[in-house]
Amino acid sequence: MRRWKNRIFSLLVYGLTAMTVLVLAFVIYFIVKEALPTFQEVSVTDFLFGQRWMPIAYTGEVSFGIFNFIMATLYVSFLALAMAILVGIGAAIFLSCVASERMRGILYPFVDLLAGIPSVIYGFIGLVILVKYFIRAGIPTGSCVLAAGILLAIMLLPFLVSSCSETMLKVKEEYLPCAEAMGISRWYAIATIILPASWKNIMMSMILAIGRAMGETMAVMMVIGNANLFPHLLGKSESIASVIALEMGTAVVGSTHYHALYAAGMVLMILLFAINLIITILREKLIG
Amino acid sequence: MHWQARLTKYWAYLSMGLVTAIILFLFGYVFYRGADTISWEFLTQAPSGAVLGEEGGIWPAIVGSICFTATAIVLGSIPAIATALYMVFYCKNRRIKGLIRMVVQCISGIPSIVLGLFAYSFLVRDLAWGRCILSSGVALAIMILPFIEVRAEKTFHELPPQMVQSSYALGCSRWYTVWNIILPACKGELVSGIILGGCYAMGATAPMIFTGAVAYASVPKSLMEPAMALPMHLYLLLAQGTTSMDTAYGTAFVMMALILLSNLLATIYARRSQKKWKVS
Amino acid sequence: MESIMTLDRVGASYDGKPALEDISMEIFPHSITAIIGPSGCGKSTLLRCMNGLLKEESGAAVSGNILLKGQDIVKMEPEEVRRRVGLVFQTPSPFPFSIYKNMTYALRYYGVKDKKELDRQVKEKLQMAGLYDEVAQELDKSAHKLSGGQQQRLCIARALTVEPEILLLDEPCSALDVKSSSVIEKMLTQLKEKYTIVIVTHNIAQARRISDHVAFLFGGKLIEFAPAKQIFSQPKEEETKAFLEGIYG
Repeated sequence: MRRWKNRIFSLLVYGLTAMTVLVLAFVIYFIVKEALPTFQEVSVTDFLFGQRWMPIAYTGEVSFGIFNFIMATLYVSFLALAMAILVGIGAAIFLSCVASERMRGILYPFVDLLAGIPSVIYGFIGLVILVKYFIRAGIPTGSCVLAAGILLAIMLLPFLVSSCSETMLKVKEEYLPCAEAMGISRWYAIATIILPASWKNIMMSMILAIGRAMGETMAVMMVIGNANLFPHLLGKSESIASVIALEMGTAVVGSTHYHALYAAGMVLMILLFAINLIITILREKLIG
Repeated sequence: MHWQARLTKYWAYLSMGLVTAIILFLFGYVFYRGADTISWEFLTQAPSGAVLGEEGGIWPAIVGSICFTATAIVLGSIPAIATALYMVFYCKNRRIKGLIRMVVQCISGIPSIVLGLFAYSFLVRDLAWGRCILSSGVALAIMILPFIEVRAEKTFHELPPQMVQSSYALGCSRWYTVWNIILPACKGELVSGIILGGCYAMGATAPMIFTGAVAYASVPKSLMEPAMALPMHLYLLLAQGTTSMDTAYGTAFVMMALILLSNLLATIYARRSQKKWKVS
Repeated sequence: MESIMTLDRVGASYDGKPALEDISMEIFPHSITAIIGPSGCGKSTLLRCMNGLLKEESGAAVSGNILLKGQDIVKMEPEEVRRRVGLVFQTPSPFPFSIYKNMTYALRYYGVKDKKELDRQVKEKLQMAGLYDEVAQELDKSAHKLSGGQQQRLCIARALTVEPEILLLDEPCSALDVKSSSVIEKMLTQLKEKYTIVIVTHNIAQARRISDHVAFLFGGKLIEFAPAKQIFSQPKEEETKAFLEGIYG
């Protein structure tokens, strides 16, 4: 009886794990399978570096080039990261080095609230506040890459803050008492010991955050203007994720358009895999 | 004071101040603008009016969101926790572990819109489930699975290893140990992970756009029907221009309130049960 | 005297790196065998081999034969081995339950459901560990609220609930203060009437006080195994002598 229960339970765990892995692997396989037919119609270089995206032949020929979308995705993500990292590291210093244990217990979940807010609400607030403000500032429709960048930056904050402050807390506990014992002021030690020592881990969190930023769909889509243009700070543009979200509903199943959207999704996926790979390699090299 | 020291100090205080201000502003703004719309009728009636959401409430969207979230939680959390158990307590082969970790990481890297795409093509079209709660639920479950798995694995790793081995040392089998020691000891963290995963699923719009969420539907009666969902509803209200701004603010209010509540619940729950074995 | 456990050329490795090599020794019933040696010499690893727990760790491999009453433990059910050979860890590791539930945890697993029998067992084993008088009134209290020494005695009592033939202790006193240690030492000398005890310790004085046999491990090898009196008065090997004189910490 006892042995039976153990066996059944083990089987359950093994079975569920196998199922999980198979389902997840199948998702990846399926996306690749649906994406590949694109490249029978369009060459890989035209797809990646072409600037014309004309899925339906209204005027002239159809054309599938996602260069602008890729650039927009990268542009918005790096812009957001640059803004988020400035505030994020500062807040992480505060949480790890200033706040008491009790304060941390309250502030961590507080900052985590940002991660819980649905992206559609970020988009909503972006529309009614940021976009309005940009219109007043003289930008034609208000939608622009900068607006999307600011929203994304806020969305990245909780991830950056929590991972950076976790690192810095460990570093602080290791070095700060020694530094203080030598009579070095707390803030000088933070600036000259703790920050440089945490740098490698901060790099890692930054790469991870870039990954999150690139996959974000709704918030970006709602404020970026969705026009196939090369991204400029105050101009409209369109990210890969927005193209998929906006056009999937109208694409005819089995058409090149449909496959091209999958291919765009696959490109996004490959970008993210590359980032994951870089993280894994860096983790082994830097931290070991 | 040295200049580096002063700079760092201002930087830290300013940043934390800014973060706090942003959070308070986001919640404050939505609650302030949405408060007027919230009424018993708004919460319990179906939307009506010539244009979507001009009049009436959001009841079907609330029920729909609960259905989507519950489906995602049931389908996502059980395999996630089983996988975490396998990774920490069953698997001794490093290669298999590495492989599973890679697959899970890849999935957590897939943008939610691509998961929506998958569910649309495979479940809605190929398996002919049609647009329904179950199709979206599967997409959402795949989305939150890595989130819950990673948290669960971390929690299991943090258990004192000797506590688990003590149970093996008494001759008790794995299932008895898992069931009577590991799961009870990690209950708080696991439940809070599931709640936060549920939050994540509730707020996600991208995976359900093509797979199960629709502009208007009555309260769903089965999982094979499409339904309304709060984030989708908000998105559609915004997409049609400025006719239903009040309803939009009201919908946002309800979502933010739900998020705040579940985060609070998750935090309290995790903290209360954590003390049990960490303080000794 | 007939031995209860025989180790025959036992070796162990983590990820191919050897941790133990060629260990042959015997454990005699109703005695205390102390395993001593500098830190990192493989004492804990040897203990984990004896009840088959080492196999649970990833990357670990065991060679050689370990016979429990003449039976090879590799051929027995792992749960059976662990029931018959109990193990108590260095840091007290009570389960996050009440004292009573800690004590009945394994009994329930083995299907003891009768309340009276459970109560009797809890009382008897807690008495053996010298803990009963201290906690009799508060068996429902969380085990984590006990002091470190009490927690460790609870863990020993808990290990006794499954009636092991051999009780292995991995530096049970290293996390405790002097007074708690002496309580545990006294208790162990009483327990050997009924059980066989193997204790790993880095405290030579403790080994001298309680042990009947001593095994000295160094660099994963068994340097010397002899009755306690002999090893402490006239060690045969140079390394043993050096260690006892406090040359390797």
